[in-house]
Amino acid sequence: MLRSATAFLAACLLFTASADAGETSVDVSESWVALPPDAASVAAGYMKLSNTGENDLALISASSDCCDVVELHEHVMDGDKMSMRQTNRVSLPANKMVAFKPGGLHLMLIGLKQPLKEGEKVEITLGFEDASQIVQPFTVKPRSR
Amino acid sequence: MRIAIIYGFTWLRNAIMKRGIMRSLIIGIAVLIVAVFAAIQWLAPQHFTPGPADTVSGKALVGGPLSLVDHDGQPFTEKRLKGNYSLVYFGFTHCPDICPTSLLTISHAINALEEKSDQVVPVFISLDPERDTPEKLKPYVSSFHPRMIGLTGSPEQVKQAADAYKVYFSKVETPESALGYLVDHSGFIYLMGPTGEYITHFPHNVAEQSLTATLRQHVH
Repeated sequence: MLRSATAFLAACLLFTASADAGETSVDVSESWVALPPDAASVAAGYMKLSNTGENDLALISASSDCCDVVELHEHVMDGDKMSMRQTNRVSLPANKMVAFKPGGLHLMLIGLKQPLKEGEKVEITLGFEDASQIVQPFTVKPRSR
Repeated sequence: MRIAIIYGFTWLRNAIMKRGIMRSLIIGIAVLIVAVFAAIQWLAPQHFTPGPADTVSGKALVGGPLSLVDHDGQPFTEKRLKGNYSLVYFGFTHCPDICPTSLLTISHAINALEEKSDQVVPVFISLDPERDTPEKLKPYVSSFHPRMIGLTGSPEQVKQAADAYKVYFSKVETPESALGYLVDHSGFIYLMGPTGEYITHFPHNVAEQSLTATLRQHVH
């Protein structure tokens, strides 16, 4: 009884997951991860997100096998004080481009499982509010000056 | 502020007349604590803006004695920087965005001095002594510059160093983040002279060229 119930539940979950993985109107470009300093357990990822559709969207999650978690962070200046804050939602208005760039929005890769190497590509799965997902390769490269 | 103090004292005087002395004493202490906190709040914003006003007297108000631990685990004082210029930056290794950018700028600006680059020492002082141990700092700083000195210490030592440089910092608990906590901080790059004197400071996002240009005016 319990086994069949579990199977039914699993089937339901599977169905929902496949139904959710719809097409997205977001284009990801210039995706890269800044080569972190040695011994750093965190790294920052940057990209451009263009919402080419007619509907407003939002980025709500990110994950990768290269680290424990990926969080959405924003750098904020309050006078001379610098803060970094986690955010749960980044709005992607219709027909607009949103840039994740140094000194602003960034993906925060926390708990790197292995040191990242220059030229390496890491895959980061981006999750959007409409339940669509994009698996995007990010190239590891040094920060430009 | 002033009205609050006057009101507090009037109320205290009335309280002494009406009630027992012990009770008044407790109320008095409470009023005093509130006043002290209000004064701290009131003065705080001036704490992290080392501007030209600090140097008009000709005496540096930024810098001074340091008692920290270097990336080899050895005790460190400001005396080790004597004779050289130094570029001092406060940050933490769990800062993935701003701190590495500033440290790279420092490193490139020093290298741009070529044969004179030896006269400037890059210094990174951690504001996160709990996580930034000497072992952690050593590879971190050397990936920016071979001569960069990474400094940490006890929370008290780090606080003292930050105070000396008028650096504001505060540990912010972030229960929703896997990081647990983050460190808010003011992010200036300080140029200190060969006798440990404060020369000037730059914003964290200063252009490498302008940092190099200022360094060139001093090294010889």
